[in-house]
Amino acid sequence: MDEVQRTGIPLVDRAVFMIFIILIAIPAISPLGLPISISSNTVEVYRQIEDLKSGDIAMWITDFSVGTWGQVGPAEVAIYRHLFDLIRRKGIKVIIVTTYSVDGSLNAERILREYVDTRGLKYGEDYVNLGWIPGYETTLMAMAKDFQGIVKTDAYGNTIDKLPMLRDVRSISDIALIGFSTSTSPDPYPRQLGGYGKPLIINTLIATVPWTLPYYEKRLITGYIGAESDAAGYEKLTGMPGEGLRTLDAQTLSHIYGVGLIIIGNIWYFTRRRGGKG
Amino acid sequence: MIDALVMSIVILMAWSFLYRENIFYRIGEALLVGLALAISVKVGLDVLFNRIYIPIVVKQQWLSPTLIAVALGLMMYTRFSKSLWWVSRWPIALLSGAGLGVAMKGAVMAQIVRQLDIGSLFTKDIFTGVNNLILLVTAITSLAYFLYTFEHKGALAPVAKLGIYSMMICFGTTLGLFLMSNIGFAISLIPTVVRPPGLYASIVAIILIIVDNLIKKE
Amino acid sequence: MSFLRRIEIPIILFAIGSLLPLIDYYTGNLSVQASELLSWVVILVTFSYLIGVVNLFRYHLNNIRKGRDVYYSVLVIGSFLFYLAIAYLNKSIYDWIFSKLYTPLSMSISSFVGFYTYTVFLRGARLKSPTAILLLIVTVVILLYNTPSIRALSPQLITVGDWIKNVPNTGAYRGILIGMGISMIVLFMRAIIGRERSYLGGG
Repeated sequence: MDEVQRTGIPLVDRAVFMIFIILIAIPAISPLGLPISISSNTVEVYRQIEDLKSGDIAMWITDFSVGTWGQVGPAEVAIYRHLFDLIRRKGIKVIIVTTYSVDGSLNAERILREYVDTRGLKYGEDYVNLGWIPGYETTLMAMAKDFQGIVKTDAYGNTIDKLPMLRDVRSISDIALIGFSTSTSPDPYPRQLGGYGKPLIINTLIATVPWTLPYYEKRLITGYIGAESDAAGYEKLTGMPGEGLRTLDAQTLSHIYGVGLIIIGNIWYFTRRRGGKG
Repeated sequence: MIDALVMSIVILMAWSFLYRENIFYRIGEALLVGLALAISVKVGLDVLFNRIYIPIVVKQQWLSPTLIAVALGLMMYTRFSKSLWWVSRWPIALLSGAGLGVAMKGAVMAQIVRQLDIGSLFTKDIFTGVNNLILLVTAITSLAYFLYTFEHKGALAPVAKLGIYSMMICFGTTLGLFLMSNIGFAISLIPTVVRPPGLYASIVAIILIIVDNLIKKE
Repeated sequence: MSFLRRIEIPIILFAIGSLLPLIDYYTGNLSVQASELLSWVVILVTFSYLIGVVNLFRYHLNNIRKGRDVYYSVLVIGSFLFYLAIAYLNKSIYDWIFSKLYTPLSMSISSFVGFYTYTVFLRGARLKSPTAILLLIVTVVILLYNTPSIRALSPQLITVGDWIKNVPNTGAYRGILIGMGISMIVLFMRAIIGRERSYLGGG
């Protein structure tokens, strides 16, 4: 019986999968310690966040889906850690919110619960988690225009009047920096939050980065993070190692494997064609 | 210990699909759907509680305009009725309108006006001028390719053809990055299944695959 | 009753919904009404979100009734009811299931695309035509450019990669963005005059 008919997955494909798993397993078992360079866009994002001053309010919109944690999660964790470190060091305030889907709010809660040290910080005064405010682009526009009109409670049902740090937040002009993480289209964010003269940072899938570049070039987005390598760079800059740095060797091997497959595929194709089979 | 073991078991259940479709994968898939449904309902109800119950019942704003939104929201559920399904079109129309209106408000400036501003072609630094020219040419030609209102004939034909090359550069970039994005998901999971105790679950999975192969061969 | 069923009513509602934010933005009038509308959207989106849940639930109940994939549908509904109950009874177990079960499961299924992209590279990435050659050269350069260790070893690659990313790629994407923006305006105009009705789900 034909292999495909028998199992549904061709043997060659299985071999491709298996080699990939072995390749990424090697550094997971024994790290290779390959060199790393920090990209200029990572440094730019780090600088913009680090430049926040005492009393400044940063709003971080966590909108990525749970399935894309592996790509967006490490940088998100690194940025949260940085922001919460700045609450301690400089006295900034942080608003966390989700607009796109349920997933974002669950990711945000998970990061706050498992990755960020919130001990000694006062909820409602130093940071606040607004949870999911459905509506996506309409919510983004509403927050920029009339913050108090759209934000009624936080994620835990506390009304806004019980959260002192939000008392003076009327619109986007009261927020010093806005950041967002997304695993879908980046368009709504610069459309609604760009052009206000505030830093607007994106943490996204690396595949989405080219899409953000026309906005970045026009400074509607002022900084971007788009891969585990950027996450690793960010972790190095903050001095707080995490998942990004741990997966760096595997990334190198998997990219080289991808290039290798293109070359092998073409050699295979041209050899067969020359042999009259192509 | 137990956390890592549970995580590795569910990862292997899902990844078993890469070998072939099987009962473990389907259990994992059903579990994922069930959990996702529960999460959606829980968070959805939380939002409705915070947005409707607190202002109207707790704060006793009985005549709040929010009630109209609630009525519209409930009207959506008439889509399950054969005779009243048309009522659900009202809230959907309002929702779609608001979505498109808001998107268009932002798009005019961010996606059209600001993107039309391309840097000068005559700069002190010749490379900047050349780069600006390439930016201009690639933008115009790729836009021309999508002009389906006119047939790609005459002067438009070479422009649209050049547009294909512009887009190949852009799609090449995306393809490379697309692979990177997608393999990133697997990379982040692998440490769980190759280090103990996840490793033990992986060994069991490998044994099951070998046994399955032997049975199939017989 | 037949008057209420007329298609003009949803079209008017669509127009009100879309014009309010625009009038507010461009003229500064009707600001309160626009804000109210945006806060309604939050509630409407939540209701529509729950419709998806109801649909999926109905699908699996239907499966059980018809004896089609019964065990899997029972598992879907069983895990749904169990997890929903846990959500209200024990927050720590709810969080644990989310972190240790739901998240890795969801990530594993998302990771399939990565595995299959490799097979696309092996089977489909052929240097058959000038456009394919250009596409693949750029793909390879971008892959190597984004490889952390290779970046560290080869500064020239960073220059080439930066140029591709920031110049021709950005230019082409810019054309696409402008096209999308114009399409949105066209869609809006068509919907306002009632020529575009797909958002109403037929009729």
